[in-house]
Amino acid sequence: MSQVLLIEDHQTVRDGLQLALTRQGHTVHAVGTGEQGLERLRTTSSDVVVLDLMLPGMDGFEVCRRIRQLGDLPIIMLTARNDDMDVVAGLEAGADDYVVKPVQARVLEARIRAVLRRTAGDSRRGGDRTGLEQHGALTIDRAALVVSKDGKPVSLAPTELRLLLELSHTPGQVLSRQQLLEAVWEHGYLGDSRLVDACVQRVRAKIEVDSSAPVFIQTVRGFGYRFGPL
Amino acid sequence: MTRRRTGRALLAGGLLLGTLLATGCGVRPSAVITGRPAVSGPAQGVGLYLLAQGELVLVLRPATGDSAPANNLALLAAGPEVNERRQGLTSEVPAGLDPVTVTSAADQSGGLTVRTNTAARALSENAVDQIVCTVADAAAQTGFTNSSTPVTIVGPDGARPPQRCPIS
Amino acid sequence: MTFWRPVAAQVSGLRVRLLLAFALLGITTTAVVASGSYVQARTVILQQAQDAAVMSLTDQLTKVYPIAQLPPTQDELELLAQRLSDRESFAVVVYRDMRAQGGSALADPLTPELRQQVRDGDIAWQRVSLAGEPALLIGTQLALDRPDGTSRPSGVEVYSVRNLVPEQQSIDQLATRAWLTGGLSLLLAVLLALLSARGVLRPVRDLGRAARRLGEGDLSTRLTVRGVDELADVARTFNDTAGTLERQVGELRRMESDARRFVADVSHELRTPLAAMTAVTDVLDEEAEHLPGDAGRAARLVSQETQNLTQLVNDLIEVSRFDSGTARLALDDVDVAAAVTATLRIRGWADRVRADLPSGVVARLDPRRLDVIVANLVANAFRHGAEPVSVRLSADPDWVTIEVADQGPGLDPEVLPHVFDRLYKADTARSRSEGSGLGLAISWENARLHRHGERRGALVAGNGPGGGAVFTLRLPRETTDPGGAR
Repeated sequence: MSQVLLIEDHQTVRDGLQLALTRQGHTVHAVGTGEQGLERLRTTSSDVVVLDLMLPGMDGFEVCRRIRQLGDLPIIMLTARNDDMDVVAGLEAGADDYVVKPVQARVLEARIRAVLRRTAGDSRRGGDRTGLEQHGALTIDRAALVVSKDGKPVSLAPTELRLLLELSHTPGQVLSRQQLLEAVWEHGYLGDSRLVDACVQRVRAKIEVDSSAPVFIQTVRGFGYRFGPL
Repeated sequence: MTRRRTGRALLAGGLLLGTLLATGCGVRPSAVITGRPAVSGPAQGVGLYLLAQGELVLVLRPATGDSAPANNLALLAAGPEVNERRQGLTSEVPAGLDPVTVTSAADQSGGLTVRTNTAARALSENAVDQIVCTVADAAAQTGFTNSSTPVTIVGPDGARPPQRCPIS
Repeated sequence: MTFWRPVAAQVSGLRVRLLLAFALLGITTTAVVASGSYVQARTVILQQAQDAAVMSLTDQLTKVYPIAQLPPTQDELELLAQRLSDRESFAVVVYRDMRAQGGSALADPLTPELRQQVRDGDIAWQRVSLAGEPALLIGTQLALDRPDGTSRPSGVEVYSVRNLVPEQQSIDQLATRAWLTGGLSLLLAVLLALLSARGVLRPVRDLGRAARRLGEGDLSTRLTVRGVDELADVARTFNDTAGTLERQVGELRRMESDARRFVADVSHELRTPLAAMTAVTDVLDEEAEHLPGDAGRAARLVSQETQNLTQLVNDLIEVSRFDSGTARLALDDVDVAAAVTATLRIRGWADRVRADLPSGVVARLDPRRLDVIVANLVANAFRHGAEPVSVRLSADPDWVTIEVADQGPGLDPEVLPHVFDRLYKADTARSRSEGSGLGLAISWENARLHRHGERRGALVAGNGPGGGAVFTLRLPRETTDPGGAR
């Protein structure tokens, strides 16, 4: 099925998650430190990284940033503490999603699948339209899943791409955070809206001229986000 | 308790104020204040005692000669002069008193003795006072007795008991 | 009455009493001193004036002697009277019924008692009021010396009438000065009283303020000890007391926070083994079906209890975050009806609960915490009450209200005050597996975490008119996050 890289320092947790995920059909490679994980990514390809934030040596946030520099590999954070600061910092470091330990294997598995679906370019929303869309300086190719700005391609992580596609699908229409969570993260109703906020910030940083005065993804206070109007 | 204390304070203040007001301000009338004895000074002339409305009154006349007691008694016997009479002065000394002799006792305390030819016992009280005071004054003027010396008047009808001048 | 008490307190207050005492003291002292010196000065002035007048009269009279003729003529009397009169005084000379007056046209100013005294042979004087003005009458007889040192009266009486207006004026001036001095010293007394009242009252006021601050919970309050008087003693005692109190409360707080931190630490330590165990509960569940008899039951039991334990530890950690004040809201604009519906749907309660959820109620709140509250309340209703369980949503411009009611026996009055206590079990015999015992406490804390200005979320337990338990959640419609997470 898919290649999962598990970076977790506790032996028993690592073993337990490896066991459970393997039974779900994933190929799990488990390592104990961030350095080992980064080394592994250099040599072998993976589909998704499950990353514990509390690591000895290089911490999870730094590992997260390094992986982001390497490419758009999806990252799911494991936070030991349900600590708000950790979650926010992890999301800002580039994580796509997070789960709180202790986590049941099927919950983690569901998240992994959701992330992988995004990577696979399952653009259900964009499926009924083909070809290029031009939004000002921004060009969105829903078929090829390519976004370019002023003709230059913009490198977007899968979750970021899905968010942009979701928003630009209905320009000018406001989508609430909960709607976006359901549509992009498949979180059901109880997702953490900070996922949306953090992801919007990352997308803005990549496509907007001035992140503090966004043009493409605008905040509608009290409601949610809106693509345009330009 | 507070009230009682305040009351006491008020009472004290009131008393004080009352005292102040009682003392008053400014110059207030007073009772008679007595000082030293009256001003006194020397007299010139002959001192005789006449009567004014029955009271003994000292009369000074310019000295004419010897101021012996007998001479003074002679002047007294002559009665008030015109101007003295005009001022209401009288004398009860009979003109027949003169001539008289005045002698002093051998000892200092013995007093003076006036001898006359008039009936001594018939003299009125006023006349006696006039004679006694005039003689005592005159004797004192001459310096050999003091003014409160008792005086005995002796007439042909006998002697009166010694007497002192009622004017000190 | 309530109005008069502060006024009365003001009047009988320390400041007023001090002020009165000082003023009274000032007035008394000033009055005694001023009036005393006034009276004395007046006496001295009058006496000097009198003595001088008497002296001057006797001086003048010695020049009359020697007297050569008695009785005097009217002309002589007139002449004498003229000679004895001057600007300040005029003389009256009397001889029996003759009378001569120098100067002034005043009627006979002589008083009978003065004349009597003069006739008795003494120099005498008397202050009288003549036509409204004070005057001094001095009288003497002209006596004649005898060689033996005694004197005989001549019958001539000389009176001098002297105006005392200049003396009156100086005395009046004295009085004015006394009044002025009194006024000034009263002013000074009041000023001193105010100063000293402030000096005395400031420590008292400081003490009051410090005591109030201490009462309000500022245990670090201390007073500056000044001087060595009784107030300084009080301040020192206050400081000692506050110090002891601060130490003891600090000790208590430290012990309590130690205990809480211990719970938090233990919970965190439990998480790692639980994380490993939780990861494989799914494996256990799957395998349990294939395991024979007891082994299968044991595997299911381990799996079930692992999940319960996880829930308990998660709840403990949540509670410790409330205690440490690190709980933060993740606010969003939420369609409350949709949120509640989702909560019920996800847990499979949609069909068992009578939901009355008018749509269109949007509120700014933390959806995760709303979910926790509603889920806990509904689960609690199922557990302890009797179905049907109903959830009713209502709203006004300021508040969102959610009522969760059941048709059970309701809450025992003895239980009611403790419903939101941690780990409180109304029925001690109840099995632990039915919940962590922290659900309602966490719900209560979650509700209170929502606040907007004066409005603060609340969770209240009670009994409905039908007898069942009713939990009422009230949240402000607009919540501001004090932590500023967004």
